[in-house]
Amino acid sequence: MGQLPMRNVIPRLSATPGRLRRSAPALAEHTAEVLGALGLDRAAIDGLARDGVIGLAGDMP
Amino acid sequence: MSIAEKSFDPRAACPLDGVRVVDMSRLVSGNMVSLQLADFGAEVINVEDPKKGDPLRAWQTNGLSVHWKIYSRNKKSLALNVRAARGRELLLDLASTTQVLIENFARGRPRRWVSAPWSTFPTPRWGNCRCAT
Repeated sequence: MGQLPMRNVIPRLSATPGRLRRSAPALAEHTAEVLGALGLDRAAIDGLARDGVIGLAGDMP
Repeated sequence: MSIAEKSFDPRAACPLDGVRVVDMSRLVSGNMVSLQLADFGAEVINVEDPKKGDPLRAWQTNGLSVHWKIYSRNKKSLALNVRAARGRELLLDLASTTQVLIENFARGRPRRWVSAPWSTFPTPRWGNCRCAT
């Protein structure tokens, strides 16, 4: 979508600043990552997607 | 007024590094809370309906979800159907690994699904942020 101006991190703390790390996620972008960290393997994650419990990044409209 | 320039350093430490947040909220109020946490280093996991996502995505200008782009930067998206029993189990598994829960549900089932178990989790709780509706 090109460039989108947005405000900086507020408040601007000199000793403990915040930062911008990533742009806003696409729907379901981190589903597999988050569930994998909970201990689910790929087969379990795919099964949940088939059952409509979760959405995976590649399947999103 | 001049503002000192500072080079971007993705490895720079943030005060909330290591803090995990599960964000069940929708639209603006909860997303503004979790944006503050995310901007300062917290890992914010946005729980969204798998079919429609956060309704904030639908607030568009010239066909672009600019509100979403601004309020959900620095966050992660988990598409999870919490209307399914298995989805609620996964939500509670996830919430048990986080320090902060954010929700802005109206009264009713969704609030009961997350609020009652939340108080019993063994990990340290920072807080349950309830945005009044």
